[in-house]
Amino acid sequence: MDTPDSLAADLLKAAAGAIVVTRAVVQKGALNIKTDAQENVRKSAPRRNAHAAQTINYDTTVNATSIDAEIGYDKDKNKADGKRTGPGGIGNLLEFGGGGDHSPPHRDLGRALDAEEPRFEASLALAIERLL
Amino acid sequence: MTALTSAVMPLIVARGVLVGVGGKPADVDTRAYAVIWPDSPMRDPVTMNLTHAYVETWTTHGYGLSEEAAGIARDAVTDAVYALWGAEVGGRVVQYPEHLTTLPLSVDRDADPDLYSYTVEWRFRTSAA
Repeated sequence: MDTPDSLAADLLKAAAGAIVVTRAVVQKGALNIKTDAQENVRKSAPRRNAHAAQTINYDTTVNATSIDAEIGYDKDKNKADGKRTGPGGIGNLLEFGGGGDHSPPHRDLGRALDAEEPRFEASLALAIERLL
Repeated sequence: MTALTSAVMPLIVARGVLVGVGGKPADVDTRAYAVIWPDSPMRDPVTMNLTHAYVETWTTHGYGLSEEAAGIARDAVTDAVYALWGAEVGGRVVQYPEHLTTLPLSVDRDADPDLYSYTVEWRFRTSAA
């Protein structure tokens, strides 16, 4: 049976482990979004995508109060000499469309994020539940 | 075109801005204009109830021959989008629109004359009336 002291000890232990499991969930979510987004690019722009899908990557950052993941096109990856950007330079146009020729937005990253949202919430809830 | 885009178009035009869905509107001349690119509505996975929330995401572009003109188009879309809040569209009630993303001002120097634009993403949830 729990006593106030054992409950406090359990909560402290869970708090210490929260960063580790949350980071794992965030990293897995970021990886899923990256993979889905790459697949979306290949489907929505099977030609003329300049291999932009290969430049989608992610970074995670852990701070005292937050764990962030940033997923997107790396515009410097595979950049050729003398070029302003690499293949990821067209990522903005693929994702949001626009410009003078009124290109349609593909929302390859946005749709991957939408698909991951419920999975992320469920994974995070499960991970926290296991800590307690 | 979706029920929501059909509902918002007259609201944008009433604010003096031409609007097209999936392309540039006709007879733009030198005026500011907006283009809406909607995704097909999807049932929100948070509920099993078929009459519950549907989600629709738009990418909107506000165009103009100057930064100010593009801003006028962007603001007209923004005002019209928020005017949908609580409205009944196609037998469903529009929940408070969610402002997803805003990109910085963009200029297409290859266009003649230069074409300025703002890009904004919106997400709508509708529920049974």
